[in-house]
Amino acid sequence: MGEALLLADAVEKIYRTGAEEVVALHGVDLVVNEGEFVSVMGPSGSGKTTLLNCCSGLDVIDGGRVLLDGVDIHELSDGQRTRNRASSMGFIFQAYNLIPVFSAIENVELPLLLAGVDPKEARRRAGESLERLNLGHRLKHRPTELSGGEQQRVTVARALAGQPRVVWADEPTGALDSETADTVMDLLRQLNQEGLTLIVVTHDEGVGNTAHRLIRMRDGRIVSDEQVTTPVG
Amino acid sequence: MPVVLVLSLPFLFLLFFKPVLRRLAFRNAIRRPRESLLVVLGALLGTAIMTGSFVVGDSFTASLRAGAHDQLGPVDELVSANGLDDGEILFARFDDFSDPDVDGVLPMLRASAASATTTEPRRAEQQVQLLETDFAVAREFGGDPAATGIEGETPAPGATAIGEDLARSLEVDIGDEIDIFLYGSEARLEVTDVLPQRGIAGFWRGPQTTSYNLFLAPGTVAALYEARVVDGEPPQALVAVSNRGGVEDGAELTDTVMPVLEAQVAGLPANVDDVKQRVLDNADLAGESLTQLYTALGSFAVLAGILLLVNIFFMLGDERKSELGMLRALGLRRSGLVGGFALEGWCYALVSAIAGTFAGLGLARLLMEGASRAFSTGDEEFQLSLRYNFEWSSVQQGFMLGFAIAIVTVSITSVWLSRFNIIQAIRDINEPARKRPRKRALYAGLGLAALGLIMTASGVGSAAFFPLIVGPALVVGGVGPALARNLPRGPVTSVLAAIVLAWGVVCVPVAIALDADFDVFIFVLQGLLLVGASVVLIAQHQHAIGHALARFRPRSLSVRLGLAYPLARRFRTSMTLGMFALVVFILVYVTVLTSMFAGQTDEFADDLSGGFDVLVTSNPSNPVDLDALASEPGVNAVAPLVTRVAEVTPDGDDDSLNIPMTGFDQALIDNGPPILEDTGGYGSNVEAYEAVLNDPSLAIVDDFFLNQGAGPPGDELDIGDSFTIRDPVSGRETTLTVAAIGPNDFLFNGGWMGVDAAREVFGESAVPSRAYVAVDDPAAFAVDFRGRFLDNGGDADPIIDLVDEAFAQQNQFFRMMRAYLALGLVIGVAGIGVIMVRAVRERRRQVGVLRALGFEAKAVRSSFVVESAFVAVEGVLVGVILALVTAYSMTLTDEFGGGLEFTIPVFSIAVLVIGTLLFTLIATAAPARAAAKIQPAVALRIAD
Repeated sequence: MGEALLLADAVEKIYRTGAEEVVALHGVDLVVNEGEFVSVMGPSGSGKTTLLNCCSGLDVIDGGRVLLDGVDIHELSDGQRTRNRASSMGFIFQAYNLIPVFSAIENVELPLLLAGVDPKEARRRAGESLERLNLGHRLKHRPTELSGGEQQRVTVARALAGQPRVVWADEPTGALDSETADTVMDLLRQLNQEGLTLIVVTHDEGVGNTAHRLIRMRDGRIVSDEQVTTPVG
Repeated sequence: MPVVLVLSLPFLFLLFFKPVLRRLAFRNAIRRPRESLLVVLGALLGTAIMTGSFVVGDSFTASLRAGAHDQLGPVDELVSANGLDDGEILFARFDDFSDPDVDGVLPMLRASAASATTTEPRRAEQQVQLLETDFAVAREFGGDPAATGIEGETPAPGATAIGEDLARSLEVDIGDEIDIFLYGSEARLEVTDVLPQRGIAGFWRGPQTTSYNLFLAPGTVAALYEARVVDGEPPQALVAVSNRGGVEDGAELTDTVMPVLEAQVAGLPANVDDVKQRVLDNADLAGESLTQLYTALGSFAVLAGILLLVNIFFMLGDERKSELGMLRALGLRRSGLVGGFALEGWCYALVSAIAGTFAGLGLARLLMEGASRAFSTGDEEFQLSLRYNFEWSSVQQGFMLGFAIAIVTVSITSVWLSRFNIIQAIRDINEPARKRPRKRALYAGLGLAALGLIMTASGVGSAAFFPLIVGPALVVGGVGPALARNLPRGPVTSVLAAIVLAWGVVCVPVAIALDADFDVFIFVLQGLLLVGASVVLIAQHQHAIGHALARFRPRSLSVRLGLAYPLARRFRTSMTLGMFALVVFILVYVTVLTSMFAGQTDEFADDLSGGFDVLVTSNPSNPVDLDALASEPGVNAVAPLVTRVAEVTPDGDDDSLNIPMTGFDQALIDNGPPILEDTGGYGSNVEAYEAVLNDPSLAIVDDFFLNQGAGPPGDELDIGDSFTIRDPVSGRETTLTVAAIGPNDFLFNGGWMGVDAAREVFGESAVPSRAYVAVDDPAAFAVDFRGRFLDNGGDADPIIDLVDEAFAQQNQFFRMMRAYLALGLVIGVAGIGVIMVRAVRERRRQVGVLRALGFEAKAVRSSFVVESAFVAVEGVLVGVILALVTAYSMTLTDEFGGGLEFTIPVFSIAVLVIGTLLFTLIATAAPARAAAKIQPAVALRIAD
């Protein structure tokens, strides 16, 4: 197992709607080591996605701190946090969230360009990523012209294109049929075996049980954190 | 109002009998109140512009109709005869006159004179009107003493009651003395009263808006005329007739009273003039003409508003695609979907029409403020006092039209939006474009082409501009589907759009060459044709344009993203582009035309003056001795002119217009007459003038001879056309045929005719009181002339100065027009703001993803700015280029204004372009900032 990549310390998150306050995270502590494959499970409203958003810096927190490689990401400015995401993180969402006006290859090269990679090099690497995911014949297609499985594979390719240290996946198989879901998870597992840190939020026990570590949440708290399989390395 | 009710019937039915659709429509309408407000704002501008145009017309009509109260009062008809002898007979005929429709007659004697103050520095007025009448009778005339403006006693010998306009101009008051000059004599009078400009006291027949009146003791004018040392225009005997009723409704009896009056003066050289009806008709005509002009120019802004509305509805449709698909899947029929959407649109249309009507009333007030400034420049005598006024019928009409435009737009758009594949809508998949047009498109296209052919043929045959311009474009557009079924669609569309574009550029010169009727709406059609074709052409090549632009900043993701959306949403981009291009086109076009006309001042002055330099005028009752003037040192030539206002009736028309006619003699020809625009088959300029001088049935007129309203020439007389002129005093008339077309008249010469022919019509009134003069030093001569001939009411101006002054007034009017047209830009700029606000809403989730991926907030902001700037720059460029090309095409024909030279007002266009782009960026700033503030986690969490 590698060094601690992510450290969440007493993270709190409160949603406010009018006068009402909903505590989504109650002082959550979490450590994720480099190369780990962590799955986060729990019923709806348990705080899984909120944990992902707060730990990745997508959302602001109301208490505690999140260190990524020793850097408190919530102490960074919005611009610094954004650059940090571009250089070291990848995201996979259930709803794919591809940019509809960009083709598959343009979507995949986006994080590379954001990281300042030369446009030609970015295009080459994006093409390679898609080829690797068997989407070489769909490079110029727009998201609306792709099937759900293909769109999710483009999302995976986009998440990996920038060679991030950690990939956050929120219900990556939620919208896929079981066969396609298996393919996507096999791919993610393979990438994890190659050293990628993977944090997956899921409802799917099958997906959760294939991770090294399974964290269960309820009412904004981590109620269990168990080792399922041994991580590589 | 009934139209609004009829148009609303289907929606009221849905409202009361289809609860599901009602719920759907209302909940969608109030779902996002701020955005609904934007839709209403976008739609209300059309109503505001329509209402504003109508109210401007009402205000002008009311302002001009006020002249009937100020300068005529109870006078409905005027019977006149020239000279004292005929005058006496005329008065005698009306001694015991009575008619059930007439409530009074008032005999008056009138003469014109020059007047001046008696103390240095002397102030003078060259054209004052001397009137003699019995004040006691005058006060009772028409049954309403207040409407006559007559106060006090009839002036005693040596005394005068003067009108307030003259008192103001001469700066005199009760007790002061003034001199009057006529027939080579002068008389000194003491001012005993100052009368208001109202009714008899303000009585005036000319085009001036002021009444420089002097009321004298009866017998004063006759004595001066009898003792005359100079022959001038003789006194005129007038019998004012008042019909039953008030100032305006009395004129309704004119048609009944006129034959009675004509019978009363049978056998006398006298004329009966329906003077009140003419003033009221002209007021209505001018009001209608301005309404038409403002509506035509405003229609560009209205069209831009329609495109904005369509765009917003398409955005709504796109945003709700999945839910609409679900509704269809659940069993909602397509007609129901249309109904739901259109019912929502009906709510917007109704609210926007009500709000737009009020906005239009405010807009008209602003316009009238601007117009007041424009009409209060130049000579005081011609300044029009404008008053804001509106008729309820106009307000209703504006409301109805605005509502109809909005409801028709949203209904058609709703039908269009409801045509989708349910599954593709639910899955939010774009429907692929068809490679070949359907058969029904083929048949519709062929039908359109056939209609276009018929319209073209009828347009050429009847010289009507609408079918002539639209017909060929329909033919080209109609064959499109047939060609696209067998050839690649893209190139076919591009080629056909290019052909329509070329036709749009040359159609106006072609229509002019074919002598088509000219109307200001011709520019609306031309603008639509040009912009429509350009937008189609650009839409075909939008990707190439976008990629070419992206090459300038290949590493900028903001540029790439900013361009990606407009390139991907071709229809929406085209709508926005069209909206911008339309308003910029007409603004730049009017700017260029203004500059082209203004640049022609010297040329127009040269054409108008021929071999002369100065126009001199004097009072026809006390004219300058032009023979003596000709022999003075420094004066090289003098061409005497006889100018009188005549009632002009073109052949085939019933109504006459008051237009000046000028008689000239050989002296004008010998020193170089004005340069003709069209010599009408005569070998030279001089030959044409000689023909007119020697043939009393010929005349020379210009393109604007019959023009009473604003804008380009309306009803023109062509070579060979005939018209009748009638002396409004004696009633003598003659028919003239147009022999040649003269240069545009800026000097109130009107039509040109031989001096003998003028004498035959105008008799003793045909006094040569004006002249074209050739001198060594025009400016010095003019100053000297004014000082020396004060007693004659002498005035002199270098012709170039008069043309400059006329152009300055014209430019002021054009500036007002441009300010009105700029309303279209408000729509364009506000529209792009609305579209960007909706775009941010639509792309919240995508922005969230981009931010999650590492897109910085400022890059998101920049991408929105790039997006709006791209569309705005394209629209502005298209508008500017089309306007310049079209303006250039106008110079290819000599028939529009005559020999225009193409010029580009770089500064004005630069201000317009930079201003437009700047305001576009300002309008985009708020939505772009809102986009940059989107928190990725929040955007990703919220599905909607």
